[in-house]
Amino acid sequence: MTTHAADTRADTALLARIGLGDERALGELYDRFATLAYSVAFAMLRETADAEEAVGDAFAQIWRSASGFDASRGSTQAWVATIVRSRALDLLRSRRRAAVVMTDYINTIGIDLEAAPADPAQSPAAQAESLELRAQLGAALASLSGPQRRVLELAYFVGLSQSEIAERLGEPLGTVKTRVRTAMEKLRQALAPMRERGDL
Amino acid sequence: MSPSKHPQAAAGRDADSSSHPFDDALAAYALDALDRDEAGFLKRHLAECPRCRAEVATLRESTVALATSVPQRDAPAGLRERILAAARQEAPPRRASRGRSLGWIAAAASLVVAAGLGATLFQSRADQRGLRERIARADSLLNARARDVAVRDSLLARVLGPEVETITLASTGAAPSMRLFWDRARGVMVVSARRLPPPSAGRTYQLWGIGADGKPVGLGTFATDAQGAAVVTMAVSGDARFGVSAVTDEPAGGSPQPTTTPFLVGTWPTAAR
Repeated sequence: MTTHAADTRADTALLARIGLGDERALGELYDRFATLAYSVAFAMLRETADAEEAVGDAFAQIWRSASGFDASRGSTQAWVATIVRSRALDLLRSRRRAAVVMTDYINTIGIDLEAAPADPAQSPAAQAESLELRAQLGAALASLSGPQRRVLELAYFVGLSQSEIAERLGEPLGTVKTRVRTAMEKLRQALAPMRERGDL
Repeated sequence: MSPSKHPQAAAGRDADSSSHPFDDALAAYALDALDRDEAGFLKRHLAECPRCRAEVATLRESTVALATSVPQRDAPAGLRERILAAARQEAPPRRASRGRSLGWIAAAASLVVAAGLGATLFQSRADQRGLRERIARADSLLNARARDVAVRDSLLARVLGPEVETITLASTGAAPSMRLFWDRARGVMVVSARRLPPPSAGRTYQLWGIGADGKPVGLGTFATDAQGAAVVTMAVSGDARFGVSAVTDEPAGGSPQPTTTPFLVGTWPTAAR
């Protein structure tokens, strides 16, 4: 979609303004990606206060490092998602290290989402805006087998290393490594047309 | 770089694999899933290999598909303002060091004699900022807690770590939905049902786990309230292995084996089998 490509260019311009210290641009970037950022953080941390903290940390990092963003190395959306995930992983790991017992509320969503019902918290605006792009990304994910998707989710959302995944699944490390490689390659191939159109 | 430029890399068997010895590990690196020792070697290679760096970049970008696959949630009100306020706090030193860095350094050097005073001043500013951050954090925590408390009556706070296995039980009719959270490390399964009418008098709902032998194991019974909601905790050993979980309607007290057809069924991920 050309609109996505245009959005991508606009995002790059936003980051350039943020790099120059333009707070309004930071606000605009937040408006574009807050739902994505908060959704990822919440999926990983499952706690509103922690998810807020991770998103706050991520945007603080974006504010400090936007001038280092290199559009030739990937889209703004992917960059933002990567930073949010890193900050959420930091919290997840420190939480594990401290062996903090967390309480969670049951209306949270786990990481197996294929069968998940529509989330009533989903806003119509957010739905409409990104529905098509998400559908394409979703189709790419759907090209993976269940076990392939599972290893990626354990690495991405839970922050497990390959040997931790192997231990967790009770499978040989070699099998897990092959699965990670194949799954990532499949995902990349499936997204290649989007990347070439500049939609990613 | 498009993958077509390096089609060999996909198979990890390219002719120049001797100069790119880490092809097999690039995908895991892009996911941050390499074990630490492996990551160290690869990092050194990446520093001097633009081709492998480009590979990692496209692989990492592909993970955005995972990020967008989670259910969408609106960020809490007030978060935007907190983020912008934090950015404003940080702005002045940032611009100073960026715009006139040389002049700034020179000025700083000339102020070295006043270091004692400067340090005190800096300290108190840092204190102030720390205090503001703490207040903002406490604020955000308080807001989040307030929201949580509002729904506490209908939702049970439950100890759940990030490694909890979870599945959704779907019914053929659209209405009821049910979610299972299985914390295998703690041997706890939390059952959360919505829009499921209460069982009729003298009846109960029973949850089953079905393993490789196809024999249903009763995990516990539960009932929903007038609103159709239930949140129940059951002790389920983390050593158990289930492929499927199902819910049936049973006589009060439950049955040793299901006596009716399951009306909610879900498949556990591989890890639980």
